Amino acid sequence: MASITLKNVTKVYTSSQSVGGGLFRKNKEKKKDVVAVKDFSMEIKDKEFVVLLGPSGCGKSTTLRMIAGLEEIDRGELYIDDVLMNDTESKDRDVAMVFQNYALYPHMSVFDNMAFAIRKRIPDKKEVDRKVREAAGILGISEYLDRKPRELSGGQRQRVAIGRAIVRNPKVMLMDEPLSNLDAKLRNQMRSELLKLRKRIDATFVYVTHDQTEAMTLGDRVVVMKDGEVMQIGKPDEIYSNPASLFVATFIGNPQMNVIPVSAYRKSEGFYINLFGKELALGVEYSSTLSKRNESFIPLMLGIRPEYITLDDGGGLFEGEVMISEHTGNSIIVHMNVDGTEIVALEEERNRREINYTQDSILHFSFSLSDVYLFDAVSGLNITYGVGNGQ
Amino acid sequence: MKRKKKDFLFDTLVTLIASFLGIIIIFPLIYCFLSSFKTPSEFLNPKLLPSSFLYLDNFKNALERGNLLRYTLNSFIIAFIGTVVRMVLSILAAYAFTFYDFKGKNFFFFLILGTMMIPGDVLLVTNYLTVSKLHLLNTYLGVMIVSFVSASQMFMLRQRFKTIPKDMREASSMDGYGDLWFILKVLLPLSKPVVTTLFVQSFINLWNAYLWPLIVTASSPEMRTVMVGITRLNSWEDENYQLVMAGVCISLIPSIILFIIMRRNMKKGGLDGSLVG
Ligand SMILES: Nc1ncnc2c1ncn2[C@@H]1O[C@H](COP(=O)(O)OP(=O)(O)O)[C@@H](O)[C@H]1O
Ligand SMILES: [Mg+2]
Repeated sequence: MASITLKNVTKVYTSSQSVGGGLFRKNKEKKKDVVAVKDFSMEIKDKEFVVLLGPSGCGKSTTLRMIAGLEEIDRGELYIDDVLMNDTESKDRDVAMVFQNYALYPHMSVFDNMAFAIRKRIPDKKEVDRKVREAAGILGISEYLDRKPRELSGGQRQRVAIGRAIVRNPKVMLMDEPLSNLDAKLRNQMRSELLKLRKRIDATFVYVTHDQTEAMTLGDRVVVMKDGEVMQIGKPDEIYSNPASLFVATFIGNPQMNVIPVSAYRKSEGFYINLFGKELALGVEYSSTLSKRNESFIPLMLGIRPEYITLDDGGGLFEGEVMISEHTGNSIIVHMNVDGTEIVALEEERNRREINYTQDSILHFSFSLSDVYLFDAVSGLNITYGVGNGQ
Repeated sequence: MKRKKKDFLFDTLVTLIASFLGIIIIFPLIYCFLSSFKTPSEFLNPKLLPSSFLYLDNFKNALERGNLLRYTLNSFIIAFIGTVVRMVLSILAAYAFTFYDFKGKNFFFFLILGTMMIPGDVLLVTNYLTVSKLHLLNTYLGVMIVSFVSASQMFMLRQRFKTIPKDMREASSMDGYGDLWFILKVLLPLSKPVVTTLFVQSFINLWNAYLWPLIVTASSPEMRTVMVGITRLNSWEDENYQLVMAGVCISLIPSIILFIIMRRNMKKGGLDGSLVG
């Protein structure tokens, strides 16, 4: 049982903490506060797996460290199981953490690294021994218990770091980019193992990553952050198919969503946009929201995901010149120049037709207007977010 | 071929120079050791070797009549306790300067480092006055107290502690370990080479100290340290250098034993495997 509730949790780093500063250095210019996390609010349910996702420096680690009790909460409240935790010491919160760089004790064996985590709580030596062996069994590191961390590979060290956390059987498991230091193949393997692990462990997970694949595959819910602020909280497919803002839309999805500046203008029957010289009528769901704004000319950003663009060599609505095409094995990614704008399209290999994808050839493409997202050019917000438009 | 020959010549030359320097350094010790077995008449003789290694009167006299046993004990107490206290204080200070954030941290750090620039001899008189006002003349504490804090040791320890990731302390604190546990179970084992080297170095320094113990224990002969005591052997019976040599040999024993015991721990102990890389 462990739900976590964050209410307007805020962290501000003040200059004295953030700047080392020598004795004779002037400190005046550095009196600037960094708002690392701003008004983070969320309710995490018991045994939920929540992923904090965002670019580097957006405040993911800081949020995690505030839940862990390693960082003081400057404003707002943190509850674990409805108990206010702001002033509770880390060791009394019943949370365990896997650090990004593992932070194993190099002078201790794998066994001792894991046992150290519970010796303070469990005085009975046999019980400690049993728990360590059980955790090692789950993670498949039983053979390495006598080794020192330096005698292990990166993936094995990673397991020990996780083992050190699960041996405590905590209510809350916190993980800060645990896979970021592994090579691609190992990362994929560990990712699926984390999925399995999660079923065996009775804990609420908060997992930090900047990798969208990890976020989408592991998370029950994903929190997208930017500059210390929460941009969107939702299930992975919601985040993908119904992004709240241009930032979320372009951050999620690979290759990145195409974004084209357009202007919507009112005509008698509704709203229209002009795209690459073609006039297109917007659907009712767009028109109805746009008409509320009482403006006749609205600057927008049009987003279309590469996988929703259909290519052919004739008959498509638009025309582009191939700049590069990348074959990734199961798909082909085509970068086209369309009136000076780069448009990226993704075609699955099995759908591939007899089309000439080579450089400088002219391709036709089209997409359905129902697959298009429209964002306010100023605020970056999805104009139909929450209206139930979906895709 | 030419290249190899050059290397060989160079290596030989370096070895020769090194051996020569080594002999120059070790020779007084060898001479001292050999002379301590000589009879007074032999000592004036330019021969290197004593006639018999069984002539132990010098050692006996140094220990008994020169009271060297007591002086050795004094020295040991002063060097050992002085070193232990100094290490404890340096470790705690270095720990605070590494792992804590507090106002004026840098100011205090540089203030402490600044004390390294003041030569010890300058402080001799003021220290003497302070110690005498505290009524600590002719006491162990009086001799030790000035060596309880060492800015340079604190600095060296901090340099080592800084290489230890903060995550490690955070991990241990999440597991319920306080600062002291972290220092004892993680920080010190990881800093063993630095800590033992500093321990040996500090012990030998305090053991070999001369001027300060001399003036602090001037009026109380039984509180002298062994270094002060050895010089008195000479005036105790005129021109008795072989006795001094025996005294020096005795005084060297604890340092040598300490060095041999600690040598194992002084080798490099890295952070390999703690981190990802
Ligand atoms: N100890 C600190 N002192 C000052 N600023 C910090 C400190 N830790 C993090 N920050 C700042 O807070 C912001 C968020 O950092 P962090 O949470 O580590 O980001 P992320 O984990 O998402 O990469 C960054 O701008 C970073 O520079
Ligand atoms: Mg981070």
